[in-house]
Amino acid sequence: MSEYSPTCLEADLHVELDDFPLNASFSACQELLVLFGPSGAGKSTILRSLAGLLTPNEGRIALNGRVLFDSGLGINLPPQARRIGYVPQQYGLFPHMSIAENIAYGLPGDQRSQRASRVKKWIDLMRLADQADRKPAEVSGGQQQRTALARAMASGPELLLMDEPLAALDEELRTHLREEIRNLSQTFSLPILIVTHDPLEAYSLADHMVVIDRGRLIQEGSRESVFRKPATAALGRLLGMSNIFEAQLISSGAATTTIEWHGSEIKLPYASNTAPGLVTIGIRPDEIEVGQREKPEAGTVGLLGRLLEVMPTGYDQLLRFKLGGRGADLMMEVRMARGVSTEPRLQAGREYMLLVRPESIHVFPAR
Amino acid sequence: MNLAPMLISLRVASLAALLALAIGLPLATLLARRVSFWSRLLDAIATLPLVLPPTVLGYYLLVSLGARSPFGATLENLGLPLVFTWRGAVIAASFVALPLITQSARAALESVDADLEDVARTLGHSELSVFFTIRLPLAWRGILAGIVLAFARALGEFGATLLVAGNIPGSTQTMPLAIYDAVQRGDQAMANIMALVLTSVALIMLISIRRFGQGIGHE
Repeated sequence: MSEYSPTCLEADLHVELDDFPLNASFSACQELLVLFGPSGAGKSTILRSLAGLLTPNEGRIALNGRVLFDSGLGINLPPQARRIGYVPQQYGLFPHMSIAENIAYGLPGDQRSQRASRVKKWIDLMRLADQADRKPAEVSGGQQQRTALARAMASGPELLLMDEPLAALDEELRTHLREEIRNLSQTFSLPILIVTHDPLEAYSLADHMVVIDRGRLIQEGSRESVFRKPATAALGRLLGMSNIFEAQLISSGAATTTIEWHGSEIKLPYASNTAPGLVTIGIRPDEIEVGQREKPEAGTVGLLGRLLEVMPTGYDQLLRFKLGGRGADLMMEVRMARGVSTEPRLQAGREYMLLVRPESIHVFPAR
Repeated sequence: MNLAPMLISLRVASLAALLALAIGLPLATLLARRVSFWSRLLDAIATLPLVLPPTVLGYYLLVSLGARSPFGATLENLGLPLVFTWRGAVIAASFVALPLITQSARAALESVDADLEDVARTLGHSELSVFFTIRLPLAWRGILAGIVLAFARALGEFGATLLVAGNIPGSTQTMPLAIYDAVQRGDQAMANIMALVLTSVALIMLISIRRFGQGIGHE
C-alpha cells in the first residue's frame, strides 16, 4: 500500500456490475478531476461508491488519510460519516424547503445563531440573498445550481462530487458556473470530482482527467494530454479528434517518430512507443490552418485539399475537404472561427493548402 | 330522524382509517422500492382484502377474534371484547381499508426522487431523519389521498362489519347497515336520506382527493 498524502482522495475500486466488472484506481489532490466516459461506462457507480451510497465488492477509499472504505480491513463508513458533498445531476434540491432551508439542512444541529451565520455566509457567497426565502422551483437554473453547491459546501466537505454540473445550463451560465466551481476548489483547497460524458464540459472544467469505458480505466492524465493524445481512436473521436487515418510507422527514435502518410514522409517531434508497421493517426480539426495555394513554411506539413462544404456550427464552422495529391482520396475536417473566414474568402469547390504542424499529428498507441 | 347510525359510522370510519394508517404506512415504507420474494408475498397479503369478499374477511376476523380463539378469550377476560362491539366494527373496517392506504402510500413514497434521499444522507442525516424530513413531507399528499380513500371505504363497509360486529342499533349499526334495515322494514324515506348523505360524503371526498393532485395512481 502506498502512502496517502494528506490532502488527497485515493480510490481503488472493484465493483461487479450486471454487464461488466468495474475496475478503477485513481487519485485527486486539490484539483478539478473530471471522470469522463460514455453513458453506462460506470461513472455513476464510481461516484456512488465514493459517497458511500453503494458498497464496492472490493477496494479501498481514503480521503485526507482517513480510510472510508477498505474491504480487506472490513471498514465501510456510511455516507453520513464520509464528509463528501454530493451534487446530483438535477441538483437534488429539496422542493418543500426554501433556498435558505436547503442550505441549512446539512449543518450540524449546533447553536441556532452559529447555524444562521453559516447559512448567511453561504447565501452571500453564492449571491442568493434575494432568493433565500423562495422555493427551488421559483428560482433560475443557475441559482438552483448555486444553491446545491452552497448546501454541499456549507457542511464542510473534504471532497465534492458533481454529476454533469453544466448539463442543464445555457452557455452564459456555464461560463459563470465554471468560474464558481474553480474558485471553490482553490479557495477551500478542495478536490472536486466531476462526472460527465460531454467533451465540452470535460474540457472546460478539468485539470486532470480519468477516462472510463465499460468499467475499465482507459486513460488518466492532464486535460491537455488526454485531449491531444487520446489513448484510443474511439476516445479520440469522442473528444472531437475527427480526422483519423491509417499510416505507416517507419521508425521511432528517442525524441522523434517518422511516419509515412498520404504519400509523404513526416517527422513527428515526439517519441512513440509503437513498433514500425500499420498505425492509426489522428489530427484535431481545430489544429489545422487553411492557407492559399502556396508553399507551406518549413516544418509545417502542407496538404492540398478541395473544399467540399462549409457547415456553420454555432460559434465556429466546420469545413470539409477532400485531399487529393499523391495518396488516395481522404476526407479532412477543419474547424475554424467564423468571421475570420472572410480573409481569405472560402469557396466550396476551390483548392486550398491545409497546414498541419507535425506535433499536432497524434500516433495512437498500439492496442 | 335517528342520528345514531351517522355518529357510529363517523366514529368507526375515522378510527378505522387511523388504524389502517398506523399499519399501512410502515408496511408501505417496508415495501417501497423493494423487489424480492418476501416483499411480493407481503404485498399480495396486504392487498388481499381488496379482492376478497368482505364476508370472507369478516368470517376470518370473527374466527380469530371471537371468544373461542386464544386472542379473543384474552381480550374477553380483560373486559375488552371485540366481537359484536363497535371496536370490532373498527377492526373489520380497517382491514378492508388497509390495501387502499398501503398502495397509495407506497406509490407516493416511491415517487420521491431517490437522489434527494442520497443527498440528505451525504449531508449527515440518519435514515430516520431522512424519512421524516424528506420522504414523508414529499409523499404526504399521496398518503393523505390514501387516508381519504380508506375513510371512504370504511364508511361504506357492510359485509365484514355485519359478521364481526353485528347489526345492533345504537351500538354497531353503521349507516350502510341502517339503510339495509330501513329498506327491510319499508322505511323508504329514511333509506333515501341516508343514501343521499353517503353519496354526498363520497363525492366530496373524491373531489378533495383530486385536489391533492398526486399519489393515487393505483386506484
